[in-house]
Amino acid sequence: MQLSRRLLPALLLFLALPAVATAQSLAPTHGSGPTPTAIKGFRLTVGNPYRTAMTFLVLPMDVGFRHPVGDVEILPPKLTLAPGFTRQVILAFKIPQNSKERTIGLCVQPEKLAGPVLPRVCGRYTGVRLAGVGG
Amino acid sequence: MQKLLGIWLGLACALACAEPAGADSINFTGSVLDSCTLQLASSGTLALSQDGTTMGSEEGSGQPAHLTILSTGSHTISVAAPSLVTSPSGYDPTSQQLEVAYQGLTLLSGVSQGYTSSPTSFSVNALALSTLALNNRIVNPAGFAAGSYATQTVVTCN
Repeated sequence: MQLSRRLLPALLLFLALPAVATAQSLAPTHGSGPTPTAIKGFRLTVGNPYRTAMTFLVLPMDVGFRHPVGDVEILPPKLTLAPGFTRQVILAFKIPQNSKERTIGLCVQPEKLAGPVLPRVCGRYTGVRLAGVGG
Repeated sequence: MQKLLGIWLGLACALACAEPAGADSINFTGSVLDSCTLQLASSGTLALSQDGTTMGSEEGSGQPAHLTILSTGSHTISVAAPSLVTSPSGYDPTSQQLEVAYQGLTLLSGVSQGYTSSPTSFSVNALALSTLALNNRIVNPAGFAAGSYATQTVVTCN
């Protein structure tokens, strides 16, 4: 009994690991890095955990995930994924000339999902302009 | 002769002692990316209460929605206030109140939120696949006109 209590969390984690590898919706969900120019880019992975093919929207948002923001490119901004598949998307955004850094939000949500719950997975990403360059 | 033997022994010892210092260490490295998965496992349904003033997922034949969550790293799960997205033309929403409640299952059994019309949130660390059951309800003392009603609650993992 004691052993099974100890083994249960490990077993659950083990069972969950394949899902992490094949079914994540968004990874990483946090990011920060320097850039020598006024543009900062991140490579993110979007996955489809559903049992059917799904189309997801990848939306640039403010850091509170409430409103869309501009000066952001996401490629592709909409993607259709087979069940259990993942795909990388590129996020690139401009850092304003008078700012040393910029943080933006990004949300992944199903394009069409009937039902009372809209699940979103969101992340925050910060680009920091290297001192003395860019503009 | 004994002096020569001593030199040889010393040299042999030096070589033997030098061996470990020349050995390579083998390092294993790895990293875990923050990731979060939300999956709507089952949609909820609303049903009318016996007194006709509440449309809810815990009334009559109503069903809660189930959302599965999988997280590596620390994340916040935010549950927004529900909004009414579909209602018939004869419905009067003036005195309505939309509310959401949720209850964690399996590894989220410590999470519980009663009916509220305000946004709420809770934190999760590394979390194996777990389920959140969500209920929605519309309370309206003026009652409900015949037709279809739908609410929507945005759940965000970040």
